[in-house]
Amino acid sequence: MKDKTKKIQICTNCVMDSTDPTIVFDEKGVCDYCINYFSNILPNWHTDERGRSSIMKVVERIKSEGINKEYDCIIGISGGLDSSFLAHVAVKDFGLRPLFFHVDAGWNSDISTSNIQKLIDGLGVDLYTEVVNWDEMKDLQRAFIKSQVPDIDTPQDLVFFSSLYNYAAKNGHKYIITGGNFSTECVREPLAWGAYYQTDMVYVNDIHKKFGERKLVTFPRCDIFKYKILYRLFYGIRVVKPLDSIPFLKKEAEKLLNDLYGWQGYQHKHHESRFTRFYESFWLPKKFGFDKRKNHLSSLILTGQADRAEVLDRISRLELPEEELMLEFDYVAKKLDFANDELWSYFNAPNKTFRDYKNNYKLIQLGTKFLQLLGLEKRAFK
Amino acid sequence: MIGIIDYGVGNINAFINILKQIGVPYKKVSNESELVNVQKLILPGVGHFDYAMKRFQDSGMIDKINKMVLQQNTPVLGVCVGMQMMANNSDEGILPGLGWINAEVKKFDSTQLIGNEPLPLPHMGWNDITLEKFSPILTGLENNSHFYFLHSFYFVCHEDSDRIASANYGSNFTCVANHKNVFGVQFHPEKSHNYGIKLLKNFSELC
Repeated sequence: MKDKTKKIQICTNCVMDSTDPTIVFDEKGVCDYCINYFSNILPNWHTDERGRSSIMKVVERIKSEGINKEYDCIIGISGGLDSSFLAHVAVKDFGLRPLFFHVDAGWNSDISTSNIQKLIDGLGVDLYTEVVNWDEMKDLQRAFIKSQVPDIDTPQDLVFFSSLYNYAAKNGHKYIITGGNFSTECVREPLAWGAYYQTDMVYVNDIHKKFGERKLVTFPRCDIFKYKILYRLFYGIRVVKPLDSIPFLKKEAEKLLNDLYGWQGYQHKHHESRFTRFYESFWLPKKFGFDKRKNHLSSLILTGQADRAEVLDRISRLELPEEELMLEFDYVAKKLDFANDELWSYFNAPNKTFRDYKNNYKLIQLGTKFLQLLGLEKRAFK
Repeated sequence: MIGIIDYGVGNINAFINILKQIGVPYKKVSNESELVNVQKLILPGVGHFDYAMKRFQDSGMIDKINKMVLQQNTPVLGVCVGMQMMANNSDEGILPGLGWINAEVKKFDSTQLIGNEPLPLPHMGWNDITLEKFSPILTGLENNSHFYFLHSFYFVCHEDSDRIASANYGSNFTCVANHKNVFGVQFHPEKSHNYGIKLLKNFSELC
């Protein structure tokens, strides 16, 4: 487990800290996430008429290109806040005709399934559910846990992403509308905090080769180069992020969704997946010393939606009570076919990182720089 | 040749993908004339009972399909709402069902508590099934085979002999029913990977 005796420096403006090995502070103790927000994101982030006018041009293009199609765009929906609010905006505000696309990786929380159903009923939109082969899903999740890397949510992230992009490409969808946004995500999770590229298939395959026990036959995969080059340049798939062009505030969005559809909120971001809730509330902070609430809540601090002192108080405690976390530990162990002691033994074993396995890190960095030079990739995040 | 009834409700392509994979001849049928040379039928369905019934009635195929199922004993597999349509009626709507199986469709009791929480609806995700009787469509499938469910209403057989397998969600409910040549499954075999493929293969091999 992580050595907690080392002194940790906390940003004086948000709550990001030196548990991120790449963080840099200025002379006033302000971190480079904040500096990036104020210098790169905020000046280019317009949620007023300017933003609306810009997104409406895109919306009109989507509508006119999709005029004879059953759906004019596709929206990945998890039941979480961002995708749910996006779904509401796309249908009710923009008048788009989306297909909702949901991936069931076996870990939907009760609230998320109910939220999805309420949105379908309320918006009258069709839903396509991609169901992941549970035996393969379980095998890859077990492999990642055994590998000792912090990225044990990679299998879910990979399957959510890959299923949507593969489906869009196969079925001729040109526009993928996503809920990615600055309002709740302007401070990106550091790579070291279990956020290594989920679409680096060299990395995923190496871990599966070393620790997997069955072949992945139907497991949806989409390599980073496939979606950045093949799907974008040859299939012409465009990704649109409308939430950066309209007002989107967490509490107001939650209230609106609740009032209109009976949508229920979650205690914290990403809690729509029971595995992610366990991973971010227990496995990652307890085993590795990484707390993703810091970047989630720092985003809210920077965008004026949370008070730093209150956030510091909140992150000084576990998000869920210890007894509940132990019940979740038992649930996860049982669901992944680990004996309780076996999962504890993996929890207590020495930690590793993506650098301990084959990966495409250097090539991905190089490719990203190349796409930036060509103007095909914008980079707003640190 | 299996005819997949295309009345604008349900994901036809998911069935097509599996039938292609297991090498079973199939065709989409969306009007009466396309029912020629069809020896078995799949009736898919999602969404609301009345909506599905109305679309099926409007498809112009219902009389011919009724004749095939009830007089010519053509095997038919109803899936999810497609299964529920085979009952006499449903709590979800006011239109009568097809009445191919003497059954009704009830809503799960959402006031029922599981621990301290009300039963979450819909029932969405993988669940194990318990085999109660032999049926050829379950050949080779064992107790606790798992299938993918997405529904808030469930099928209640009035004849014990029609109940083939059950699942538990708050309480036990029938998830596979069979009356003569009429088969209904509450889960989605087309989403249930190996187990679903096995079931569809069994259905395709019925004599």
